[in-house]
Amino acid sequence: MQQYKLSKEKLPEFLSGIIQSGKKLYAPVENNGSNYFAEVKEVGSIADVGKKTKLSAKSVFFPRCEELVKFEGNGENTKIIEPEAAKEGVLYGIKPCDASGMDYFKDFYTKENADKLIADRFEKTTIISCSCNEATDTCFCTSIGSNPGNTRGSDLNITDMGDSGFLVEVVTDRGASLLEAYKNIMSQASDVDKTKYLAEPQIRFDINKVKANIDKIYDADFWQAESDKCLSCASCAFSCPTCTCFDIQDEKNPHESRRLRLWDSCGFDLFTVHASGHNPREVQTERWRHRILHKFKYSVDTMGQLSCTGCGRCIDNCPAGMNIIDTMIKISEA
Amino acid sequence: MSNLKTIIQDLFANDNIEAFVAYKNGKPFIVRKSEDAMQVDEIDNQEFNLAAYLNKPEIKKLSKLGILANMSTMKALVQLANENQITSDKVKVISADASPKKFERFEEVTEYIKANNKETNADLSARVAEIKAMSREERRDFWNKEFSKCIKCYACRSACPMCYCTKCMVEANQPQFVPVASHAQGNFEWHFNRAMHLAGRCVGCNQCASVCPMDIPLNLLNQQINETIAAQFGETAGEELNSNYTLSFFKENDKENFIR
Repeated sequence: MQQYKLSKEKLPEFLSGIIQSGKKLYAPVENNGSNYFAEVKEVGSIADVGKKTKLSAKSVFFPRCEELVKFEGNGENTKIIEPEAAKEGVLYGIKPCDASGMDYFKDFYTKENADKLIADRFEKTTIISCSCNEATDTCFCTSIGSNPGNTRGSDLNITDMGDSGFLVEVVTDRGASLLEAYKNIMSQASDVDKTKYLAEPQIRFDINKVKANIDKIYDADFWQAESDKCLSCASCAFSCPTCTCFDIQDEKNPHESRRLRLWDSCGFDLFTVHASGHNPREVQTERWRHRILHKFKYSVDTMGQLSCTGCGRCIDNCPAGMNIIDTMIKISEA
Repeated sequence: MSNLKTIIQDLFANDNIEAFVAYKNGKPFIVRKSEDAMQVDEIDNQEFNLAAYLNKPEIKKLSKLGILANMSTMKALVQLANENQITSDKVKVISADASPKKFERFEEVTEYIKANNKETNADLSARVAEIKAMSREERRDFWNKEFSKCIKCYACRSACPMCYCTKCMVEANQPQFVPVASHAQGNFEWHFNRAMHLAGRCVGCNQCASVCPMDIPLNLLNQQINETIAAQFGETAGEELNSNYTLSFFKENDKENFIR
């Protein structure tokens, strides 16, 4: 992997260069003490990238509410308005867990029956991840076989080496071509070992034991206790980098109508209600089990990859204190 | 009085409860078996309003249960009783304080509230006053900015002890009252309608705001309405056992006559 060094003073120049080149820059910004991904117009408004954002970066590719198509007028005069194509952009300050999540997300939406809008955004967005120097209590990327410097899903990866500046690693050709214009502010590096700068989140469960047990715990006794305090909101799903589910809603008035795609969650009781009124996942225990099994079994069965990245946001944001790590420990010990 | 764990085990043995709602490691915890009572926290400064669990269908369907109640939980229980959602036969209330006490009737809960109610929402009230002092435009901008963050995860609804509708207005779609989408109009209508549905019923536990992953200060809306109700009708939800609470009852001497 090609490596460069970038001094701390030159980072703003790199980022403002991206904005000046006409690309959209998405980065963490602060709001009421928490960080969220948003488009930034100036480098000064970028928040501390060391801090985990409250929600994942998926909104850059999968907005919580987007128009799929719009109709204006009536009868023969009906005009069909398609959504605008995405603009070239750079997503900066995403953590390695989140970037791996975006890789899963991209596979989910682009491999088979590609979703035009989401594929277009992935096509035009360069992802610059920032390795983690510090982990939080809820981080468990190392438990699922990842690490705080993982480059999966990134085009470029930046590691803060303290006084030695930043290490910039080129992961993909797209990353290399973005860097081309800024090589003059960086210096070549080789064989820099970034691991000593990385956080060391504790391993909380044995993923191999989880994999060994996952096919035999569907009817296990622990599901009720594990899900009992869940209040069935969607703060876990909406903050998760790999939750892909959506709802379609049509909105109409006499002059125009539009079809919207909105975030949805398998934690809602309405999610699986049939037109007959029957609900195959009637209780929260079944819904929590589905969420866990999707992340650790179904996506492995269908796509060959886990759909949990160990970011821990579902734990951070749960009003009721649900903890996926506890459930994984139960599965590994089953 | 014996400690909390003994009280819970006693409830399982003598009152035939099927579950007890308490805390474990600072988080809500549903005790399903008598022996699990050993896991509950015995500290008395937990803030989560556990009454929200009484609305969870899996808990609501139980024939008898117990609940550990801090001040805001007690107020919610009283208001839920006022709205005929719970009875003292079904729900056994234990005070969450240094010496947990079992209440036989909700009248005892209201006496406890009167004697121990030291909570004030003074800071919140001051913030409401600041917002009321804004111009219309500033106030509109303030709320537009706050509501624009809403992702419609409905944590506010899920964690609210007074949100017990089996079909929420936002889920009614024949006709569709509130847009499902988390766009500006959908978010405004959701929060506006939710605040109005809680008028005279909100017990001021602030849980809607504390659980919001986007840090929207939803409690400001409820505080404003609570203040209006207190000024106009002299009532505060959850403090008295009274099924004729403000918006459920028409007084003949009411100065408004539109309803006659």
